[in-house]
Amino acid sequence: MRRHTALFVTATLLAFARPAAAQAPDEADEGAEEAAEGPIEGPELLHIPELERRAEQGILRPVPIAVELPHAVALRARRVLVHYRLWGDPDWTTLELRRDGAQYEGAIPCLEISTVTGDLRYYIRIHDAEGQVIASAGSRAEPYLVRIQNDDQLAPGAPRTARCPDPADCPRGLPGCPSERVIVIACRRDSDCEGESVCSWRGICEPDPRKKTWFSLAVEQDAGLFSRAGACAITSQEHEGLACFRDDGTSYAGTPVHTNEPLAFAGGPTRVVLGVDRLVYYDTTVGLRMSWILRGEAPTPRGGTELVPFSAAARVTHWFGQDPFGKPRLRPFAFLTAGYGMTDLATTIDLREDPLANPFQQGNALEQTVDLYKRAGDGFAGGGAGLSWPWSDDRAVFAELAVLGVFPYSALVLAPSAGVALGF
Amino acid sequence: MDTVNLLRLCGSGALAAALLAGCSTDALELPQPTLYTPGAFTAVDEENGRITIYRTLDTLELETDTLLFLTEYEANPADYDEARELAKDPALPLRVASVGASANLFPGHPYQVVWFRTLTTAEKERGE
Repeated sequence: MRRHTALFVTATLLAFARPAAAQAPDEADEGAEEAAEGPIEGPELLHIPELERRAEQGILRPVPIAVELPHAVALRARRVLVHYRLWGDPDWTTLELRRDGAQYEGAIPCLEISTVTGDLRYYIRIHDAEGQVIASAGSRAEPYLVRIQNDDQLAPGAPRTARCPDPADCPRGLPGCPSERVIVIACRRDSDCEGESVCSWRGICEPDPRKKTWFSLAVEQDAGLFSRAGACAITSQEHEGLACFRDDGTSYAGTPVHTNEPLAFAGGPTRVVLGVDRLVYYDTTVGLRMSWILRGEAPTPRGGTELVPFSAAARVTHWFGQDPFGKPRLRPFAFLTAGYGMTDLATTIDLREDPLANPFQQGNALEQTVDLYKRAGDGFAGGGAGLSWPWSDDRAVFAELAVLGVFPYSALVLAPSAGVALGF
Repeated sequence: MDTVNLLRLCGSGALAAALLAGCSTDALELPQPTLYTPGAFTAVDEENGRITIYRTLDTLELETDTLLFLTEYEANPADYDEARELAKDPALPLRVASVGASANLFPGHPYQVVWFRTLTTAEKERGE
């Protein structure tokens, strides 16, 4: 294996940006003293004089890069990454330099340099073990420049010997060979990443096309199940959130015989629901829902608790699929929710009056059908599932079904809803 | 659900159905109104085949008899079922607002308590 002998661009990074040979010992100590004073806040900028930011070399040669870090930085450094962009290339590419003692070195591959002349731009960022950028040399705005020229344009005495080796002879990552391309860059915060990339939840730099905040507007129709056993007895009406009304609209206050009516499936109110969800991981959102009853409020018996038409809930939603918000596609989801709210459930019940009891109310027939209402609440918890279909990056329609246990005035509420969501 | 069906369901071991319907002794014996129950409608098959609907307003216990205060309705049902349907109508017209009769008279005629409705204040006052 052959070490590159082409133009060797050395970015020697010192505390105050001096070539290694020119560094005074006392200045090197200053860097160590700074490190001893405490953690560095923000990336340390390793300045290089303008004259040293430019170099030139011929075509069909790799661009070797070597970095010697100040002691304080070297102690914390775990990865040294070179970000470069070839002339005419719209994208930046990242390479990782290999450590060789106190020095990090590598090369931009010869085959990528190719025969294209023009400026090669690069800059260097040094990451610690957690991915945080602790130092940098150059930047995307002010990169180092290496002018790639045809051999006949090179300065006299410039090396002209090397040509692109066979990649099989010099695999990436081996000493003296081109550096390995970096796909995954660890990070701790967005500032550790470059360009369109941000520091993702996995702690790596990656583009983030996701809309993280979603507002929604939906219409919900409640229905529910509750026990009708003994539903219209006075005690039930006083203590279980139940209310019975006769045909003439008056409250029923008779003495019903317990006929063990089956569970009631009852209609509930229609609500308009406003929601906001925040994407907190690739497949997880947390959110809030607030709703208002549009119609379906049951009558309140005299002395009964008035309906509070407003409800509020928190929810956690899991979205199925890999990176479901990465691009618009059908998104099935399931969620858990809990909150405050009342629900009026309306049905009817067949009553049989106890003829042997002392009558409390006039005009109750032996058998009659009365309207039965359950004001369930005030807390609820449950879960549900649904489907969201985004027709663009930031707009979606959805439908879901929630199953909610309501307490302490108990009922099992089914809450199908459908609506639209807008992402920001 | 009538009593027979409920018993059959509760004894069948069909747990889910039983849970839905409920199986309780409360429902097995429904209290029934009698001739002596204020508010009960009684259809009496008179001697000439005519059915008359009476409603018990009040009772007065005597040593050897019970005195019934009744309302007689202006209705001529053909059978007890029709009498029951007529009795459900709160606006059924009266023939005699209040009449007293001995309970001892009733065993002499076939009769059936067909309906019941708790008395209103006005109906109670008719029996006083």
